[in-house]
Amino acid sequence: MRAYRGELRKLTSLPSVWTAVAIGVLLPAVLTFLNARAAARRDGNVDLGFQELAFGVVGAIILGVVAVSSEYTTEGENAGGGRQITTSLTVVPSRWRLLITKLAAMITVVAALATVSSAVTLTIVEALGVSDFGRLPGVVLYWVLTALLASGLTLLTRNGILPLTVLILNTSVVTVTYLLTKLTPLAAFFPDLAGFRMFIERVELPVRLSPVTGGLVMTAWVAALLTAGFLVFRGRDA
Amino acid sequence: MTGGRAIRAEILKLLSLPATYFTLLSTLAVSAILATAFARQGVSPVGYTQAGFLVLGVVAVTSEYSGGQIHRTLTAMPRRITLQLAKMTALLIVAVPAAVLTALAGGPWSDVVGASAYLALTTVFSAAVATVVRWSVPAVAGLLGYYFIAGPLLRDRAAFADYLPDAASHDVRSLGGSAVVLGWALVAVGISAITFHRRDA
Repeated sequence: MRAYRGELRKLTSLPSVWTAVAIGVLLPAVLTFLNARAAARRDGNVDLGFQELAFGVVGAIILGVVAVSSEYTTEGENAGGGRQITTSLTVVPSRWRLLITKLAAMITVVAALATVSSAVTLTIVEALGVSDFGRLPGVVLYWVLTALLASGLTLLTRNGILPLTVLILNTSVVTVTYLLTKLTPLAAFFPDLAGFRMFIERVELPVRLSPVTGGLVMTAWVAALLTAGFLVFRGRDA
Repeated sequence: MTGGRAIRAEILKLLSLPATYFTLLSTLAVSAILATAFARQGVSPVGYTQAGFLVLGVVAVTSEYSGGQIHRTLTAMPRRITLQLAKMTALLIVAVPAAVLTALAGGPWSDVVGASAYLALTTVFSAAVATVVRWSVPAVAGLLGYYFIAGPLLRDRAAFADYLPDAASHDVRSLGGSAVVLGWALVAVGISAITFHRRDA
């Protein structure tokens, strides 16, 4: 419990995390606001607000990456050129416990962020009378799983640039994974495309998945990546 | 120390970074793969491969700040404006051949000139932004977030989007777009040089 509190404090002390929170709340809200008028003219879009929340997930991605990569940033010669991870492992020597508490702290922040962001965005949609708060848990779960995916990748690379590039690139308007579905229907099982089903209704993909199956497929990816990340983290010198 | 020697030193530093080669080679590979895979869909890989050049620009600058190398650099070259301009020139010298190669790998070949100019200028632009930010992760996150999420979404909704730094990314043949990117790169380099000049290392 004390380790968890420590992780929570480390996380909330990072400027990058607060930037990620601002992005996560503002991006979907502003986009929804901009899209609302056009959608109302085209008489209704069942996914208004939810599509924008799929872009807002970039806040969760940054959080997931920074939670891990901040431990490995060199602090410069004034701080002895050290990295925070050596201190963290001195305080919590069990790698398993360090990782679990770190991920638990990150999940707490991302879940709170996703809830606040969805509430803000869906309130804007509500004002237009086409809201569906029943899909909110799907959004929160999608954000949390994406952040865990980002953390798992960063555990493998120890540097934030590669996971950020891959994951943000794949949040763009036409994602690489979506393009891949044009080549093979199997691409519909990529974590982002499978995870969308949890809260987006209108999808044009070659394979139909129910929200629950989509969620399970994404969870399987996350579990695999985190396992790989943990094994590498346990096996190597900090 | 003259400007020429400063440029030479900056090129040497840039070419000694493993990240430079990793970024350029993976960008080239991704570009070739995307071009082969999506030739029939008519997707131009430049929209995606610009990510590699954004990262290159950021890494070239932030590598100075991660371990304290900047102190040594400034001891050797105390004239900051010259240093910043030399750094940008060195980056351009490295980025242009890489951009041409990537554009050739990505095709269609009629766009090579426009695409390489766009990619090289984007590298310089992101390096200037990184000079102001100084940390790699926030710089990469901000630039990618803008180029891949905010930019494309603004493009369909706002008329002023034609005058933003990513304007030429979807139509690399339009000369107007390239002029816009050139303008942004110059403004960004100017701002970064002034920031670098006024600030403690």
